[in-house]
Amino acid sequence: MSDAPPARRSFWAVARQPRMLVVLLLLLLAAAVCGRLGVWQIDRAYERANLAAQQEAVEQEASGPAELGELLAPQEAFPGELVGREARVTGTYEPDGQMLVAGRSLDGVEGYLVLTPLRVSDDGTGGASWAELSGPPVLPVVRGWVDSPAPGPAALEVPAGEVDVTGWLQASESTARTGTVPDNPDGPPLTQDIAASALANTWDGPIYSAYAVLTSSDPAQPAAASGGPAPLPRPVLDGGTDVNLQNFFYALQWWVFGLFAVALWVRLVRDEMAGGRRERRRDRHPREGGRRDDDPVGTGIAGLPSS
Amino acid sequence: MSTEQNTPTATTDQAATAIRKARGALTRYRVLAIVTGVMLLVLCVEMVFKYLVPVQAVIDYMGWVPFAHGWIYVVYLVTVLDLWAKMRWSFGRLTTMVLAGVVPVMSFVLEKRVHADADAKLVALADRYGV
Repeated sequence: MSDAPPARRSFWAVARQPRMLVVLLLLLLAAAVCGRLGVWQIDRAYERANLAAQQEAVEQEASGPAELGELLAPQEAFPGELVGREARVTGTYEPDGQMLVAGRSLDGVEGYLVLTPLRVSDDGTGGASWAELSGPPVLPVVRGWVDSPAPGPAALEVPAGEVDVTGWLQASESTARTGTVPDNPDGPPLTQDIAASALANTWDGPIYSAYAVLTSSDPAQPAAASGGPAPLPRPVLDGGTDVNLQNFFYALQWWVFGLFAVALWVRLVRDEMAGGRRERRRDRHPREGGRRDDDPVGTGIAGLPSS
Repeated sequence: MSTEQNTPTATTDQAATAIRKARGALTRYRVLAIVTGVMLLVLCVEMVFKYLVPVQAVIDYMGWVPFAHGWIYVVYLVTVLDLWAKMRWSFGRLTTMVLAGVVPVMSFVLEKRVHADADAKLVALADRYGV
């Protein structure tokens, strides 16, 4: 170092030295690698979620419809993984309880879902799943979609007597959608949502925490082509994929590392502004031409001048 | 900074403050080096049960380990950067200190050496400034 008292240099004067710029470049490179690793973690999160969802779908497709009683008992909480699962159940439709769910679109067209209570008589357990309850349970069945609040008789007509119903399960909705529904003098009563808690008041007996989206029934209901309700697509989980949260935190971690790199550089510049000098590798290896390292003080510490 | 003489100097007060701060950084680094080293060993155990001899019960129990190690390593890095910058060490040493948090057992070994070096420097500085 020169003998002249070191004047405090500006940040810019220190920062633009080639040596400092090389250090910055290296640190930015490290930050970029960290950033990239973060993005990779996010990709992995989505990839894993997609794979898991696909796998589940394939498995459920392959296993075919299961007896409803094997999947879910009445009044039991609905496990999320049953969304889209195909279930089979036998019961009798109660056309007097039929409703239309307003504000539901199919292929971009706003319309109504035809919601019909099915009084279950056989869910594959021989009645064991409601033995402790007040009577046979009711399953809300979405039989299809109509474009008008006053659809033709074919859409509202249900097969009489015992019906074997097959449909995809979906979780009962909450009654969060507030607001009153208009009267529907020309058709069945309207509702905003398919909420078991509300439907239980309208329909008697125990109710399921799920509803079924009809795929087929025996005897069959009128086909869409002859005025029956239009079939609906298979329900999917809200949000589609269940993204692995852990990967998000790993990604965050990499970005934090990247920030460290930049913060470190600023600190190095500031220390040098204050007259600090960093130890070089050859300071510790005198044979390579540096000074002899017999002074443990070396270049000193931050906050003190380098001798 | 006082510059009455031709060689750069600092007052005893300034030296005492700088040394105290460096000592603090050294202690924080020691604690985190040990914690990170222990977490890394736990992580190794977890990986053995996850990939070499899968035991579901252990996997269920230790799912938090990789996550915890990751964030403890972040804190470790903070202490490493702080100490390294304060001690004005070389870039080579920064690399080994960063690596020590991910190579099993290395953090224990390196911490001993780092601590001895830092201590020698701080003792010599205290001597020079008469702290």
